[in-house]
Amino acid sequence: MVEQAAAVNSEQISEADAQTDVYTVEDFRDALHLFRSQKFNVVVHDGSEEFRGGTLRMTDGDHHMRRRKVLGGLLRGDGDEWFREHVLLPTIKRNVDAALSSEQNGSARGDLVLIIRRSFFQLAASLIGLDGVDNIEAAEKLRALCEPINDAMRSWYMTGDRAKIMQRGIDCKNEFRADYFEPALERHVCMRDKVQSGEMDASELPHDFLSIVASGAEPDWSENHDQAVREAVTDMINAGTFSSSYTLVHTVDQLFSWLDEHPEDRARMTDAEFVFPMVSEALRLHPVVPYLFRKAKEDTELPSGREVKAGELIRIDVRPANRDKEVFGEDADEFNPAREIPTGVYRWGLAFGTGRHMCFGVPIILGSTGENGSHVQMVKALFAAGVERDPDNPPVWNNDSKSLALWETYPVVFKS
Amino acid sequence: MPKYPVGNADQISNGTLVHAQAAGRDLCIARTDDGEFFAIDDACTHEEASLSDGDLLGREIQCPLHNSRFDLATGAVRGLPATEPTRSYSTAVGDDGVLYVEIEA
Repeated sequence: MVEQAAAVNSEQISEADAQTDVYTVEDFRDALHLFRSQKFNVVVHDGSEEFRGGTLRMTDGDHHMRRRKVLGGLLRGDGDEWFREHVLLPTIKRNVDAALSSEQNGSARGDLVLIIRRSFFQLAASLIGLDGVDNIEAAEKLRALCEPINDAMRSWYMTGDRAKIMQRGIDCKNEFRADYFEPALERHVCMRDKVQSGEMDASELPHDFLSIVASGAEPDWSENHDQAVREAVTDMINAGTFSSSYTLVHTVDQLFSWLDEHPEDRARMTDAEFVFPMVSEALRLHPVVPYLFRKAKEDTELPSGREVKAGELIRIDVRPANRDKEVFGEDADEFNPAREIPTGVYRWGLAFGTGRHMCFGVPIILGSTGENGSHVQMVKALFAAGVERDPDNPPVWNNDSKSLALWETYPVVFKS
Repeated sequence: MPKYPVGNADQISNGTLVHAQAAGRDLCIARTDDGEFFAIDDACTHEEASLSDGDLLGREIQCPLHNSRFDLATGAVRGLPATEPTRSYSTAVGDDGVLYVEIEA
């Protein structure tokens, strides 16, 4: 399919994009190939260099592999279990307990979008190593500061005055750096110095991004704080809070619809083994990053036979790829957690991309087994607390989105 | 089944991973903390990262790039995002002190 990029987005997208014919891949096998092939590079397609430029997800080759290995160390080995026990599960409990305590008119009520997003801000703050974002009030303050950053990063997909939105996002990124990033980094540098002088044991250092920055393990970050800030904003704040929270709200919405048809399954919503295929199916149907771009390094061919010229820009549209009937069956548009999946295909399709640039947050969202990740654990906690749609306040779509399906608010009640 | 030498056993320390080549294959040789040897293909089935650059976790190995885990004895997947097993091989230390890996021709 060849179409003008401008046709599906607002006129505020970059002129370069608007003037470029972009081949869009909607076929699952072609998309899979593009993610895995070494013959394509990642590109920043949406003018968000101020945020994404030079980050892990936007670099390739040895440079990318080195940084990926360093950053992945946060969740490798014991780090994975440590994060789950000391950060993930306590954060979920704290936020669900808070929602339960906010009683109005005889029932505990809340906005699922905010409950989930604040929870993920606490997770992201811990992963970065920010100070003091370990309670709901502090998470809300950080969320409010970072909301314009997210708006700027997804402005390519949205309506509105893009230049103004981008500038506001850049201003907030600078504020984030001054108020959160630099003070926390200073504390981490002090800890590093104490370890070096023997006043502190290395095992006492926190498992977080700023410990890596302070250690100098990755010169790109320790010698260039701009780059480290972009990494924190892109891979942890944006992907780790906004993207993750959107997918989780979609998941819970999908589960409510499932329970409308299968009320007998409500008790099973606290069974991780039962919930994981449902979470996966929701992720497949509602990937939050619709478009990913690749640029061909050389002349090549896609599995479908489509020839690609060196330098050609290709857009991967994950949404139709994740509903490809040849891969997921004739009912690919339906929510069917029992569907059979071909060998080598994830139940969640390409919701996290795949290949070398697969989302850094997969070990958090899915855990090591799928069942011990943030999404299944949050679903379990919400349903254990008796979450239901608020019958008096229907959920509201975000109408500013041209090509993203986002909930603006999703009121819920808790009937535990 | 043919056996291929991959190095002197006593030169591989406990708790380490090393890369070796035998029968045209890239192998990851693991020696666990209690001295047991294992051999598997040295490529993660998720993305072709070298597993010998990864972490040894008891009798499992973890990919350095995306954190997939594999059982060293069977090659079975023990942690996402990999979903397909890697190939595992039998190992034995010969009377000459050399570590051998059995690889089907």
